[in-house]
Amino acid sequence: MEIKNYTNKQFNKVKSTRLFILGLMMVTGIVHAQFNKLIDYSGLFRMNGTYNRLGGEALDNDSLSERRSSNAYALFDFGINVSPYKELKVSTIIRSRSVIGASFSQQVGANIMQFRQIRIEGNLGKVIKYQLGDIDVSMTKYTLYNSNESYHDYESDAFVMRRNIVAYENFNIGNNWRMQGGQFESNLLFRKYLDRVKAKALLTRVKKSNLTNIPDRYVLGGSVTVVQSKYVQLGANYISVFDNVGTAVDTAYNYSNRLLTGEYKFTYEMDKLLFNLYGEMGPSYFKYFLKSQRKTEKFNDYFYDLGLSATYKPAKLKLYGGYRNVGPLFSSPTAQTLRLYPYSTPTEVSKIQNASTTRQASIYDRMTQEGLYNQSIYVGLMQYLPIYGNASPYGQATPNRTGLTVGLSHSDSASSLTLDAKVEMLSEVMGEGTNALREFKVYQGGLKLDLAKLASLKKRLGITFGMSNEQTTRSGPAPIDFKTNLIDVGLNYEFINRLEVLLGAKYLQGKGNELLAQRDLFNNITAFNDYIIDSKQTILTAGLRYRFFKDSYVSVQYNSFNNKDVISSNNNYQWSQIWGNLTIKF
Amino acid sequence: MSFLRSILIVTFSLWTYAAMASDSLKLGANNGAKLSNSRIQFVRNAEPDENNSRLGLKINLAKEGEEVPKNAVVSFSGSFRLSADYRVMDKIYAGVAQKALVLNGWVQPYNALRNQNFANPLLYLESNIKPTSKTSISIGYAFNHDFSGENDSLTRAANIWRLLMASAQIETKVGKFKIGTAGASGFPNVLSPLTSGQNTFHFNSFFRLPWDWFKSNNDKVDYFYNNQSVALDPRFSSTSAGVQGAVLECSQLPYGLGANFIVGKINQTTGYLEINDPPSQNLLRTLSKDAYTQTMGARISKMIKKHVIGVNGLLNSGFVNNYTKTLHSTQYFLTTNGTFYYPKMFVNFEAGISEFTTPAPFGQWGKPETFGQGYESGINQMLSLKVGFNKGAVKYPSFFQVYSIGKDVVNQNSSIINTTGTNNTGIMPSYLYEVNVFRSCMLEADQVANNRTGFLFDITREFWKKFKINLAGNYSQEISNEWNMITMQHMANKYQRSQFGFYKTNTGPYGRILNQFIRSYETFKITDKDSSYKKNYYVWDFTMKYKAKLFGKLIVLGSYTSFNSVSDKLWPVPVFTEQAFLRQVYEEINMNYLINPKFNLTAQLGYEKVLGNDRIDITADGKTVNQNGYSAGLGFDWVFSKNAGFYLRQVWFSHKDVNFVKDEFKGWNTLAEIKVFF
Repeated sequence: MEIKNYTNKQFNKVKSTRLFILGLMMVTGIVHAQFNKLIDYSGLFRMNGTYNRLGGEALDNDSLSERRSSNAYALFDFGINVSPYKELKVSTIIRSRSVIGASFSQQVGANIMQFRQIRIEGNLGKVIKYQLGDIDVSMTKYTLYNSNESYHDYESDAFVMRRNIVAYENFNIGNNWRMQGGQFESNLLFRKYLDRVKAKALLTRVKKSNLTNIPDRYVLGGSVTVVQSKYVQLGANYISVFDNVGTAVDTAYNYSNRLLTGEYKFTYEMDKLLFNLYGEMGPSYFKYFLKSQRKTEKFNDYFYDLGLSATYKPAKLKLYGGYRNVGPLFSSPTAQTLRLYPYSTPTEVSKIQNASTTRQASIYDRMTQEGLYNQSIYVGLMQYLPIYGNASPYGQATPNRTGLTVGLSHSDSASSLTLDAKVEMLSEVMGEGTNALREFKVYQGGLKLDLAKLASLKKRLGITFGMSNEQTTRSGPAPIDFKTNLIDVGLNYEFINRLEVLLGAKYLQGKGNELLAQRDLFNNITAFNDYIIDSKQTILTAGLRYRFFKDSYVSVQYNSFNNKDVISSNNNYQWSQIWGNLTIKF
Repeated sequence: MSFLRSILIVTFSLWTYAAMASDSLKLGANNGAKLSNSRIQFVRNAEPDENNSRLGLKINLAKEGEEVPKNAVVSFSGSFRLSADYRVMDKIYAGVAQKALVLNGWVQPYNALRNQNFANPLLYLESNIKPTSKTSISIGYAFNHDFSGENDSLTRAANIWRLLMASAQIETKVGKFKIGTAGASGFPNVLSPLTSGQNTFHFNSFFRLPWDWFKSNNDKVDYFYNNQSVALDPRFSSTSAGVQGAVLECSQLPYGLGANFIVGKINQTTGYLEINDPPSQNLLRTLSKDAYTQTMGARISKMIKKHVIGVNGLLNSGFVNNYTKTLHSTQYFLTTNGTFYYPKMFVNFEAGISEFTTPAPFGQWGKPETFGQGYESGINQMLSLKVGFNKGAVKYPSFFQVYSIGKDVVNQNSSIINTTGTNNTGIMPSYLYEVNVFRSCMLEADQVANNRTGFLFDITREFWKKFKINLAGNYSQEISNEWNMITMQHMANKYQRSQFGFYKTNTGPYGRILNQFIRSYETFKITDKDSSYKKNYYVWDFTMKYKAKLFGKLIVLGSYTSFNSVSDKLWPVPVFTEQAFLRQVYEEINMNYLINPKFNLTAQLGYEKVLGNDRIDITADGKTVNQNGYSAGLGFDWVFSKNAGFYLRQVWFSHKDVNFVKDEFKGWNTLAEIKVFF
């Protein structure tokens, strides 16, 4: 394969110069045009189908609810990547998607051709790395972070496969948010006194004006980290979400939230031990003007999170502990927004009880359905469901939490074992509706054992186990006693070259009572709703996967999901699903 | 936002200062694996296109290891662009937002609807397939993504109705055949100028057009020196609304014959306004018997030595009542045209007729006295004669043109501007988004209109190969006085103004503004009780271009002056006294300074003065229109790679009517754009 190097004599005659245009833009260094590979292509083809059967008490004497359904789609994401010279790259993805069986009048919405992504990235003068367009952004867990929807660190491969599709469809790449705008990063090396300074700045638009009463909303962020040496590291982060009021004729509101945090990390190293002292802290400033109420609400709060860890290097065993205090009015929408709408309607077999009731999205729906997910930043705290995590529903930045965390972890890519165990003893900082405080106890952990590596087998063999136990209690006039248990078990075995059998089981139990806070636009609690459950959700999965090459496979699974609601047998149902998937990625 | 800007500036400054201490940064991960994993295989580079040197690499669809068929190749080419346009107004019309950020749209979508940035593809992708050596197929796609922040599919959709601009070409022993299907604006100039031509409008090189195809600063500056205006891309410009459908072009037939055929559907903003029903942009519907705004046309031509003559026919027809489809309107155009080339000159003529018939009970032009009668226009003439003298053959390259076009010749797909106010349905265009009707419109120097008899001239002289002057004029008189109105195109700040009610008519503080795509018009009423006269329209354009070296670098300076007036008096020179209903002067000075081939510093100054007399709109205290518009812009084109550039424009602009006090706006506008060709 021969790729012609495009060079432009005209450009090559021009020496690289450095242009300084202060006030408009600081631009450094024109790089000689060198054309290595102008264009290449990437792609992902996926065909995905389900066949569903629904049964159980929820459908007793029910002649209207859908008992069987099948859904399928095929899509192709065609990536065109252009690099006119080595310091610039444009990446685009064009999506064609067809819903199998959708035709005629359904075609308009179901079968689409879509511009999934455009991103321009490059280096300015080898100093600033920039990305423009569709970008994935994150900072710290308190500033800009897209937390996982629930604890699922040690799932079966059968579940990971499903979850990866959901993540891809919703741009959940790690804990980044997908936004549109620009981000700039730099990494400056120093000869003396300092090792390096890392810096990042980003500006994105998270809401577009409707020109009449809704203004543009932006996220502006930045961080500077000074690495004095491998022993001392100090940083500062800033992030704000704000409305650009003038972009609407008659603005209905004006919102801004600013957050400034400081970070530190000190390291002390011995022969076999490594100690780290780290932490982050800072205030938040919330301000919201609502024209309809002629009211401006302002409040400030703060958080701190201090940690210490000790690593025994020969065993790669890490013991860590920390104490955090996140104020009840601490506000950080870019870290507290949920990536999933807990109350959204499932897309598969969604009706029960004579089609009169929408089935609440279960743990299986949350794991497998793309349409439940949220990609926008919400400035108010979204409603959550305690059964999927009550101690930290908004991630580490969950407001009104304080307490200790202690954990132990072992992770090594060369090792056959990865394990993690964590205990959190948290409480509220301020009572909600009463002076009494909720207390939260969290026990989480899991392991992943690569038996093939352990036994030097050529074929894949691995098991996973994960668990999470949460207890919420509160005494006083409005007592709360709520518990959840989550257990994950998985096995994968490659019994024929490239062909694996995948087994997985997941069990979630929630029992007790809670009170769900209702909030107004200013995030103030206005009422409480009872949340009383005694339910068990179980997923049993068996499947096959044939891997063509990396990230390309064909798989068939049988999934059995059982929802047991002790309080209301009308919600008891069994859902069987056969899932097939072909994914080719190049 | 000043705070934001400060942060960005300081941040960039710090980085720049510390540049020497930096390490190299690696680009982020690609989307997907390398091609080595795929069955797609590069085989060779694309042949340069006749217009530009495309760099699309051809790929082979054969399986890996198989011999590559020589011609079974696909190539991709196109362009990406990311743009941000930010506007802040100190003063603005009531009902218009003080600030606006338009990402990747370049113009504010009307109604604030999503996916309305149709004229500005963020990604234009053209695939070219050549299954055999004499057959080729090309398909164009346009994609939008307006970065709403909400990540929904509506904001990142393919631009369907500009999609699938496909053409296939085959060469045979009896001739070349090219068949094309297209979205709107796909077929300019398939027939003749008066049946399917395209208008031109004044845009200078400072103006950053969204489809700007120049990869090189040298080329752009050179083009600017040699041409009066930057041309518009008919696919996206909406200057000619075009036809959605199919065309067959046959050339090099025996006996010098040629033939073109077109069938399709007229765009919703063209002659036939569709009422109460969203427009169908679907080719199948075009061909069905239920089509209600269809067009069919044909041209047969004959080459006689170098000369060309042809016969053209075009039929536009449609139902103006979409539901019952009982009211069928038709308009036909039948012309003959030809061009005769001689060593020192050329002669171009077109002569024909057109007739418009509608049973629509809406009345002629919506006038109350004819309400309920329908309308039959009778035969309308379409006449044009143009004589040109070539560069090199004469001292002053020039052309002269006379034309006469009847008032009922309404064809938005042609070069004829519709000034008579009908939109072929017979309905008065009070519809909010009917923006292709310019009642009694003042023209630019090289434009023709219906209901006019006119004379155009254009003379150019170049001195020392570095100083060029051009004088162009357009005198025209109404055939009949249809409207006591005058529509004027604002020349200063037309792009900015067009966003204050984008794609709307009857807007602005006095309901006089009509905004088109990147252009803005204003309509004034004539208050005469006795209007038994014909209005005369005068245009003089005077352009100067000068190129020189400044500090050893090429600089090109330009000046464009336009005098435009309307009067009931017929004079040999533009009426610039109180006897003119409306006088407009526009002066524009622009500069391109090529600091090096990569970096072009560009600037523009503009001033517009509009004066009315006491026979048009007046204020309550008896004062007339007296407008002043200013603009000052600075920017650069930084072509940092052969195929990629960064473009920045900063414009300050203002407009104020001394007497109509609500007619005032002032602000600034920043446009930044990255464009990459491939």
